[in-house]
Amino acid sequence: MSKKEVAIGLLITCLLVILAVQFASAYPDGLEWTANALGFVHKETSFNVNIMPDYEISFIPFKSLSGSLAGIIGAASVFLLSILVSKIMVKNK
Amino acid sequence: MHIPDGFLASPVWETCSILALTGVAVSLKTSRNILSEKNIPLIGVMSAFVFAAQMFNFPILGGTSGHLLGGTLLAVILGPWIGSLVLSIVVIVQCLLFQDGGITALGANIFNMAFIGVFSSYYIYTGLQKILPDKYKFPLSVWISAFFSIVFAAFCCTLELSLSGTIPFNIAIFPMIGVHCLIGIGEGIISVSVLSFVKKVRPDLLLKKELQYV
Repeated sequence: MSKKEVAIGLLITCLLVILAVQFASAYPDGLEWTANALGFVHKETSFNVNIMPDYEISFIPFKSLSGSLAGIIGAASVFLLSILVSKIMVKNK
Repeated sequence: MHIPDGFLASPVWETCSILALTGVAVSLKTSRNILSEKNIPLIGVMSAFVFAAQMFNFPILGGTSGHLLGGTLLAVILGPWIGSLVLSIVVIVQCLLFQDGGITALGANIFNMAFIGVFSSYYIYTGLQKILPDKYKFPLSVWISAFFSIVFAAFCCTLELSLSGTIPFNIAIFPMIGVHCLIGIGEGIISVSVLSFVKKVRPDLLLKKELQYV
């Protein structure tokens, strides 16, 4: 993959994030729907430390900006982390 | 189908965590042998793309939504080992940064989505490639493997919920599989579209020999 292709790939990714924030369905997903329908949704708790819950940054007031930024931070984290892990793997071959 | 905290009993999530940890360790060890420097940018782009695509919930029937899992995309481009690692990284980041999926359920979510999702895709895809007639071989094998990767992951999820005593298996299995069949149809359509595009512009990226099962 050339540098240009990587740039195009990341551009598509950012675009996808922005589109997702605007147009993604807010309906519950398959598991949530089942949990609601069968009445075990109340068992849900959270032991996580809240950082960007619901793919939003709490102190940014505009939902589209906050969501897009959160998504791009997430995509960047995944990108960097997978490259880091790959580099370590190649190094320790 | 990110399982939150509270849905799984301790013995279940503990067992799943051990399974996931073992899976990640084996994937790391195997990937190390097949990975070369030149594939790294592709891995980065694919992981970011799958993360972004997972944010895009599409509505399905009756007030429910689903989103891409990406198991088939990753299995067909990066092979099952690196694919499962990449999807594990996505699930870990979703859990730690975005509280999508519980921290106690992280192992179960990695097991269901990154391992069952990617490996079932890989075996179904490569199996169908051998037996289907040439004409519609590619889109059909992609669609079918994407569809079943979701169904299998949902099956494992249901099994874990019932073993946890959260909901009896015979009550949960039909709605869980039913709703995930609908999501699987979407997974199939997206996977076929993306992979057909990749096949058109960079056919060499599809299941490189070096990244396959060893």
